[in-house]
Amino acid sequence: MPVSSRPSHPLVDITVTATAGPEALAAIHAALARFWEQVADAAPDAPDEPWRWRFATAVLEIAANIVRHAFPPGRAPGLMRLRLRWYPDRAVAVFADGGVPCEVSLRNLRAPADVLASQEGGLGLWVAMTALDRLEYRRVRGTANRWRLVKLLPAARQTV
Amino acid sequence: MDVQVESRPDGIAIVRPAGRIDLLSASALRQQVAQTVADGGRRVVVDLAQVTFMDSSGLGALVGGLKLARAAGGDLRIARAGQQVRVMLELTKLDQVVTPFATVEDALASF
Repeated sequence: MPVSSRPSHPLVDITVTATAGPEALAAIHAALARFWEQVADAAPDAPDEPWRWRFATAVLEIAANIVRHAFPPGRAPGLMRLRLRWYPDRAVAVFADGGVPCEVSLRNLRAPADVLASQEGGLGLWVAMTALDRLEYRRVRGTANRWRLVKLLPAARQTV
Repeated sequence: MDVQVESRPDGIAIVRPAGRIDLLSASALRQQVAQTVADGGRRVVVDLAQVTFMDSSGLGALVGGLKLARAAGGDLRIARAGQQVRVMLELTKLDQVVTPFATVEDALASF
């Protein structure tokens, strides 16, 4: 689904940085809780709980993917950064880390039933992709990973 | 994550995880369900009332438990799934594989 041009000023803007390990997931849960508190203050007509859980679940799936894969055994865990932003028409999350490249193609993710039957990986990315309007990955300058997650508010989806 | 197990006189085991079931804790749930089935509890109800969050690792642990229970001649049900868990099941369409029940009593009665 095409996403219209990016609005300039977020109503809420939260950044959290942590070492890519167990503490990162806890920090991101806490950041999401703060994010929703601030969204409730800034945008009283924000979407309902199922919508928010779709966005949050996608964020946490990408976070888990980074924790699990970006710093493999033999490589010291590095930092990962998450920036959460709320715009009038969308929620945006951007992850950055200095780990190894993601080798999974977002175009070739397998359906959950197949993944669970084979016990292979990839379900988390599929969940994130399905929960969002846009999931993008790119390698930056050969040394860093960047994930961008976008979920449109329901009213914005109707106009796209 | 904490996991409690209740073994009932009718042979059905109720597994009660609490907290987040994710990358860090899914294996503990998987192991607890496996142990429950190995101990003879082939019919399992997983009461999710105290689960605050579940990711794809947690979902994989539930489906793994379902497979173990069915391989042993039994089955696995889930009950009292919160909003986020229901979102996960809907996103993956796995609510058609692991049917969520509103109450533990409904899940018990389904066996």
